[in-house]
Amino acid sequence: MAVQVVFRNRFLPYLLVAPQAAVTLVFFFWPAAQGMRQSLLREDAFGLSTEFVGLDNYVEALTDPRYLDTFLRSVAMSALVAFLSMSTALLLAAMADRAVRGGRAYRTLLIWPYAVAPALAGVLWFLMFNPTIGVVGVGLNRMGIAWNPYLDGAQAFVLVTVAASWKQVSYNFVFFLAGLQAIPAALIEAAAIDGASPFRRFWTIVFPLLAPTSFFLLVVNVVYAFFETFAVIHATTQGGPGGATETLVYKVFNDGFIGLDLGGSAAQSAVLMAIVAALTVAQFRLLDRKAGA
Amino acid sequence: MATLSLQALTKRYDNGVPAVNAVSLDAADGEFIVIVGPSGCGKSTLLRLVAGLETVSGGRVVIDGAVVNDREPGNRDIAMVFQNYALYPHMTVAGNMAYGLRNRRVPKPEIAAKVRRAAEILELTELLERRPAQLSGGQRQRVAMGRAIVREPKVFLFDEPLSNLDAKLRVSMRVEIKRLQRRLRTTAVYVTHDQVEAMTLADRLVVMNRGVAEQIGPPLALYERPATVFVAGFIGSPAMNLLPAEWDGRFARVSPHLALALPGLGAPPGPLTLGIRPEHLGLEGGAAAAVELVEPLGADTLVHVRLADGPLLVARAAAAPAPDAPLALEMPLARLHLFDAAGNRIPWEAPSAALEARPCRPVA
Ligand SMILES: Nc1ncnc2c1ncn2[C@@H]1O[C@H](COP(=O)(O)OP(=O)(O)O)[C@@H](O)[C@H]1O
Ligand SMILES: [Mg+2]
Repeated sequence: MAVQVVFRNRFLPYLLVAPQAAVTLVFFFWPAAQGMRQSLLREDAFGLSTEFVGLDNYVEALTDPRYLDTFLRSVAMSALVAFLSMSTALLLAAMADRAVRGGRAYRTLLIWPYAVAPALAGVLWFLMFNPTIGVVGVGLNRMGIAWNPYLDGAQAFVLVTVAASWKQVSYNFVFFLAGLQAIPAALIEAAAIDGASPFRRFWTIVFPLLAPTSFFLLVVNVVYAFFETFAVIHATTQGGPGGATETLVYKVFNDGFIGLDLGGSAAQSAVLMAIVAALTVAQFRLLDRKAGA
Repeated sequence: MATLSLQALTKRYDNGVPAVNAVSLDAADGEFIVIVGPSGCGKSTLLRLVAGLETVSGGRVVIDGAVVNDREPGNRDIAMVFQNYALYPHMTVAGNMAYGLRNRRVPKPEIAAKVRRAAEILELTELLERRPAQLSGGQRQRVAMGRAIVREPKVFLFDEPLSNLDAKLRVSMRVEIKRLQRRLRTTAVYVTHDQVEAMTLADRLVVMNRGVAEQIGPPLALYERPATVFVAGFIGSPAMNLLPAEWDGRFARVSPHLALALPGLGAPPGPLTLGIRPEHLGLEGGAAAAVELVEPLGADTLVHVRLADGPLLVARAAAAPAPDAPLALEMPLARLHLFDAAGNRIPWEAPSAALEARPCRPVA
């Protein structure tokens, strides 16, 4: 139940909200509005003239075959990151939930990767998998596997995906562990007495009870993979080789700041904003329905 | 339909203190065994050992002649009703009851028939499609029972199944559990800290204290001949009066002003405990005493009386004594229970000659 607060002074509530509102306004609404405006304009490469072009930028961006490629690549990367990081996290959380001895240390260690900045996570993995100096990369080549993520697009894509997933495992782990610990032990014991194998207990009792947590994490992970992989990509492949690791966000950056097509880049970011908004709305809808049931 | 036998069953948790210490028990087919004792005495642990939810540290659990120590809970053919019911929140009532049968690959039509029959017995038919969150406490309790009976297990295990219900519901569910067990004739082990529940349900009662089974027997036998001071104090409400006394070979001295002659008692001199139930204390004739408190219960009255310079006792009387009237407390020797310093019962029959003599006399 919400607590109703009554203010004597009519202006005090507005004053209290003002700082937060100002921050949101300056750092979110204003740039967003600028971006929207920009997406309707076209500027020449030297920034000397600007003209209003309506939805031309959108049409151009969305009909570009490279855009569709990038979109599909982003979706694939999100799906892979979400699946890899969530399934690994769930497995680790299930094990941490059972660990009695040293459980605390185990948990602390598992949470650490979250403190690593995405860019560093990327660099770390690329260093390990570097074909000439990386421990794993050199090993792979010695084993006769032609490994070079700087030349092979598929390999670069895999490495970016794995690095991004690795970093996200910690975050998912914390939520899954909390979700698991909220399930009463008696439920699992009742299922054991009811003759369910550990595997069956997990699929028929634990997993359904984790569904709200899983859905929340799914949305968070998809959003993460769409946007925050930027740092991983920028610090490692810069979208290469040959655009193999270019995602929607990276393309916005590339087209805008490297290609200096500010209008087209702004139109693409408007599309991205719409995607996030849709995901968020979907999440709230589903969580509401769960809470209402 | 099965027997259950516990043989020197012991459980030590990591801290090394035995939570269950060498408990032995043989339950006949269809018998209703109730384990009663104060909180923390190891009742739940004992039940969990039988269920297979804890590993055994020593001794054996034998169900229907087979040692089940190393069997998974699901392979012991037992069913358990938990204190907080442990219903699966994401399944309907029917789903909860069917779960155990599904895991055992019982054919679907058979599952449906069994669930329907169990639902009829427990009057759950209307609720089969509901989820646990949509049920009242009493209904959840019935579903938990339904989940247990639908599988027709060899042994029922109950861990304080009624302690989350209000007082009225508890009484009716108690009757229902007893009736159900009689009807199904399934061996049952029922854990409770409530001695009324224990007395009313049990064919045989196990009184536990600090992991040890202090006494095992029919409820009335325990009531009439408690084997230890602990059982004497635990069974019966209000509790038995327990008076520390000093035995000198002829008299048991309770207070500076009161000593009881216990003819024929061969115990060596030393401290002992005298026990007498409230309903066996007489308020006419005997030692001088003062009324401290009167509690009318309707059918009878509890009178708290203090012996001169001595201990406080509770007597169950038909009517309240007149206020401020001098009172004399009578302790019939034949009703006296004697316990030694270690708390064990001292076998003693009051000789009939002593019964005729004045049983309780003030000493100068
Ligand atoms: N998992 C456990 N680890 C360590 N000690 C435990 C555990 N479970 C119970 N105990 C201890 O064992 C004793 C008996 O507990 P329990 O069987 O739950 O008692 P009851 O059910 O009679 O209240 C208690 O002292 C309790 O603290
Ligand atoms: Mg208990």
